[in-house]
Amino acid sequence: MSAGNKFFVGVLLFGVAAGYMYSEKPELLQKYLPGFSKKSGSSSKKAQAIPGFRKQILPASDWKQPQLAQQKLQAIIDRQVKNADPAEVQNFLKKPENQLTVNDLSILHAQEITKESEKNLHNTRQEALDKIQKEIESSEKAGAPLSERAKVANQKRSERIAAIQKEFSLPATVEELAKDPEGAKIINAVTSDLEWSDQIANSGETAPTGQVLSTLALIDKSGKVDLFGSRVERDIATATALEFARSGWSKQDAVDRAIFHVNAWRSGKMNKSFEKLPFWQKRMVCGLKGRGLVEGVTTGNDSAGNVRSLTFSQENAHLPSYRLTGACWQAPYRLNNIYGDVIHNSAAYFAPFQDTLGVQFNSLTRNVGGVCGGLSHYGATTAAANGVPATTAGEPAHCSYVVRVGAKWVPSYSLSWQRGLHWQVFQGNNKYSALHMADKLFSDAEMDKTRASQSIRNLASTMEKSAPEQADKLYQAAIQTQPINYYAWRDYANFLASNPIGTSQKLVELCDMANNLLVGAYPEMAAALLQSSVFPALQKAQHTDKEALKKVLLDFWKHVNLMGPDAEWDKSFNGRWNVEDLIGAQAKLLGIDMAKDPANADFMRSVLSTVSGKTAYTTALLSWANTIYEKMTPNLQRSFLNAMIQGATGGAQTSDEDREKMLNSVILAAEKSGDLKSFNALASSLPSSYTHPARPLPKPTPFPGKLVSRGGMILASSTSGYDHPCAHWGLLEPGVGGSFHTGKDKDAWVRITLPKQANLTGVVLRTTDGNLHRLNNMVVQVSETGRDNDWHNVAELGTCKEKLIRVDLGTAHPLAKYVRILRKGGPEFFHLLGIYVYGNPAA
Amino acid sequence: MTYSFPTLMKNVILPGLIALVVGAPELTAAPQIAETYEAAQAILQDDGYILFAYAEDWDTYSKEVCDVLMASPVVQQAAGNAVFMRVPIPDELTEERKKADAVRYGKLRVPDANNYPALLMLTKSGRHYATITGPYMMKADPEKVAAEISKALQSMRNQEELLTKAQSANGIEKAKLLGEAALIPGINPPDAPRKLIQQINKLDPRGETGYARKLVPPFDLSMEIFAIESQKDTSKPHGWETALKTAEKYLKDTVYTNEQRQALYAISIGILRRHVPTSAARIRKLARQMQKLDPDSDLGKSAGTVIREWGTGLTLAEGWTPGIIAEKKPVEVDDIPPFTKPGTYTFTLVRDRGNHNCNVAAISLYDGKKLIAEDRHEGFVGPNKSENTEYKLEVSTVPSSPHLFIQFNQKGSANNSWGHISLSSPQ
Repeated sequence: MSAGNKFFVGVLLFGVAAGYMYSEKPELLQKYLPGFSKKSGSSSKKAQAIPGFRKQILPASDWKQPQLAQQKLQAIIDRQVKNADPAEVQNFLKKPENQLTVNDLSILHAQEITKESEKNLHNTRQEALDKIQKEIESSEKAGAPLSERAKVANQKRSERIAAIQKEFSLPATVEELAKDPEGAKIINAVTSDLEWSDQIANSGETAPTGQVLSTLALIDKSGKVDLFGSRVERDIATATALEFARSGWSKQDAVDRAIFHVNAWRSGKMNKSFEKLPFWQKRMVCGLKGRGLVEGVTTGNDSAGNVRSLTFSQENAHLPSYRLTGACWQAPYRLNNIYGDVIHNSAAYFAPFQDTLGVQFNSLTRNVGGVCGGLSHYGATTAAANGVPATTAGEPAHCSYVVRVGAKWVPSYSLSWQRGLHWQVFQGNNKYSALHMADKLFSDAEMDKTRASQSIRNLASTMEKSAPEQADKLYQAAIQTQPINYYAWRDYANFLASNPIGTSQKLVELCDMANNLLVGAYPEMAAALLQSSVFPALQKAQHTDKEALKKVLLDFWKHVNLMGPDAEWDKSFNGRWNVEDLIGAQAKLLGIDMAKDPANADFMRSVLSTVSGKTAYTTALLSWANTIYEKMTPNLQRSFLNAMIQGATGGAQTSDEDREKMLNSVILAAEKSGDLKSFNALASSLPSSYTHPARPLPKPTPFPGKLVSRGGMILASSTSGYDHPCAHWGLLEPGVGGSFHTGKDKDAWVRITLPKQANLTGVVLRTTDGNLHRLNNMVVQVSETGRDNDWHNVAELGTCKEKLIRVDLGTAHPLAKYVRILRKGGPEFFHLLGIYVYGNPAA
Repeated sequence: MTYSFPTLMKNVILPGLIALVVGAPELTAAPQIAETYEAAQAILQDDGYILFAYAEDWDTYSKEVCDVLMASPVVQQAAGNAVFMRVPIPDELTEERKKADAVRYGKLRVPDANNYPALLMLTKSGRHYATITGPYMMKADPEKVAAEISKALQSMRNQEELLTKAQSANGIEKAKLLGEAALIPGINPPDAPRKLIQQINKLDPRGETGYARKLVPPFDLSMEIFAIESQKDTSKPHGWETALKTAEKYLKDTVYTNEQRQALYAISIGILRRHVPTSAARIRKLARQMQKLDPDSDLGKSAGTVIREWGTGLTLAEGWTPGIIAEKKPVEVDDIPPFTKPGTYTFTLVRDRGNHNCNVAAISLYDGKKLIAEDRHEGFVGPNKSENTEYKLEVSTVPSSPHLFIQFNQKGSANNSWGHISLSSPQ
């Protein structure tokens, strides 16, 4: 190629490269060719306004005096809403400027929360500051030169002091913000925009609005988020500001978090579905585990949602939604790290790696390890890093997480239905059903009703002190407008509980409303509302009309149907909520001591006959009744047992044979619904021929560890006329013996649900005395989830010749929550007399 | 197939133009692309498959990354005669999708990647031997990706050759070939390590090749040794002593790989830290050995932190803990104060917290191995009372190699005390 041609190609290449950088990589142009670069940041872009209704109700200067501004807005409303009549209010809210006025009033009203929250935060931060300063002084007073360890610790302490002091310097209330030009700009923009103000006032849990607006102003000031030209970016910023303010987390961290998600969106690394998520789910993504370095004493590696941790997940675990449910397993399950330190001493567990892996929880967990808590935090925050809604959830002695996959919530690494959500859409309510209720509440189909209901509720909230009777009417209107608005239910209940207007009569009426409007579709949520907000108030009010109270309490059971909105899909693993807690609370409210009071039989009979025919409820209530039964005196036991049986069998007197039949069906129901608790509780009602058989099986020699199947439950591929479910419990008890008997199944199986996860050391099977050919080709399988596609073979047993089969798992120590004995082949019956699983319970 | 113009420009046209200018005949290999398993069979050769797995419409960049890499001449060149297949990963896996995938991929088991986009490299028989993913994939850097492909492909060829030889070998020779194949770095072993160990143990029952030991995952060594540490049989020595001896024994066995040896050092450090409060010097030594084996590994990098956090014993500033004062021998102070001039150095015991007294019998200063100053008297600090808490060292000549020791003098097991030692130097 000639020199001239080379020059020509060189110029061509330069032009192409510069053009490419101008359009696609402005940061490279800024670096290499600054003269040609585009201006960066939102302020320089000609903002294309996001479509929506806008009107300035009050100028930002009015917000310097929030109380005065509140009065002005209230006066605008009062001029058009004379009597707080629900129809009148609904009519008023039809005009968008009126909705905007109510939103602005709500934002100002939440200023009171801001002040309280800011005071608490200030105190917490001041305490932290004092503590850190004392630590530094203490390390320096020894007089000797500081060790390297002490120097590093003091450096970290100094960084924390600087961060806390920075936080002190930022405006936090609306008054402070309105005085700052940047702050005034945000106040004007938010309060004149119907959609934006709606997000802050009505999109979910109320947050201290001073802190929300202050955070938005900081985000805008960063120049890295386009608040005025991109709806997605504005949503990210607003969602982050709301969630960080709600939890009292650092505003600086909120800015970092918002920029992280915005950059992820811009670079296409966020799941595309994020854009279409309802706003409350965007809040979930942007606010999950956002704890930063400045919330009082919180620091370091426990912050799975810090930006460095999320960045690690984004770069190393970019996954589709359905794979995020298993993302936790990217990190190794290790109780002890390689140095042998146990996870429960997390300082030592991660200490050797912190300098190199950094303060990145997810990087530490993936490289060093963790147990259920660490792994579930890894899974949930990895979902958030990908823009997919998720939250961790507490379960008995376990931590799991829940991920949004398509239109479903999928419990992940879950071992029990008893899960309490760590991220709460309705503050103070950690029930799993809350997610399903919010799905419907904020769905497109319900949104108009929800928005109206939220506005009415907000109006009611502003009137609680000044006009309680109007507030009462408005709360009721909010509920009638949108019966699944839990915010309205909760706030109304709390209002009645704290205001003299809330007589016991009113509270009983509220129970009745809940029975009629809430229990059918969301029984768990209704129970949570009653137990947390209504029953304590009724207890305090000392309700005298016991019959009316009892009626409304029993009516709850009349209205229950399914166990909850997700029961159908999830029935193999839960389909269950804590009905025992509710019935216990009801008994307490009625003044019945279930273990001692003769009235208990009548109450139990009434409840059971009310739910008769709803097997899932009957099973759970009988399980609860069984635990009470054990505590009773023999005199009371007899009448109580009759009540249980009468209740469960529709009130008829039953023979022993019928009782066994009833128990058989209840046991099978417990097994099918995965109700381990009921299965074991029912053991105490078994006829003695099952618990103390005349010819018990000899106890086998155990494997090392514990009998981890004790307290577990079985489920077989089918039942048959030869099956006696009353004998299922004994199947897991060495020295007792029991049986199960399937129908003629192809690839028949029996699954044992262990009460806890365990590292298995061995399994002992006791076969039947005859028909051993039916037991050929058994395979022992294990699983941590029990799902159909998640079984792992640990032993293949071939031809069955022995009565006692010992499967040694000593070298592999597989971790399992479920053990399954699969009998390959058939169709053929399948039966065993004993299954004993040994191992060491996992953390 | 559609590309965005800028991406094409950066990764295809520009390299093409450059090739045109400088001349690069090696950038002209044609890719073998198959859309289905069936189509792949017709063109399948020794280098197996490379599956380009990307997000199917749930992100906006990974498909483009894969398209660019597939079209890149350097990537094609590096891939030898491997068949390229696109593997779009859906956001939700429905039953319909599973069925459609089963038809499309046939007998090919598409492995899951931890991160997308990813290149999944499979042998001709469909065995998954490598995954290429990470930041350079995200940046669609063809040069870097091509280098990784080349490396993995060459390793796989070597591994397959060893496995082919192993098929016709027996006994020790077969064990050796299998072990070598399993330990080729950068790619997956041909089977799960535990299965390979079982197989090698059968071929080499006396462990002459050492490969069964080499294949033990490092974390399994720690599980084994920590199980010994937690033994509570009172008729035997402390579990931790046996555990430490086991780790030392393994460290003497030269068969173990550097990675395994690093784990054994970490295990020993952990045991010492938990059970021997005055083992700072030993910990420092072990950490340095661990670091030397591979400074860039996670454990190698952790050595510095270990030395700083755990390799420092008793210091005046950080003070004593119940573990340290339980020691019956004199404990050396790690942060030696500056003995810069002759005179009286006064050390004072300062209690920070705890329910019990801290008793001291003596503070002694050595220059090298020579005792040059000592204050020996019974002193104590406690929650209710403190007596004789000052220890004065008369230093007549400045020591060139100072070593300061404190002799604690605790009674029984009453060691619940934390505190530090303040120093007043001569003016």
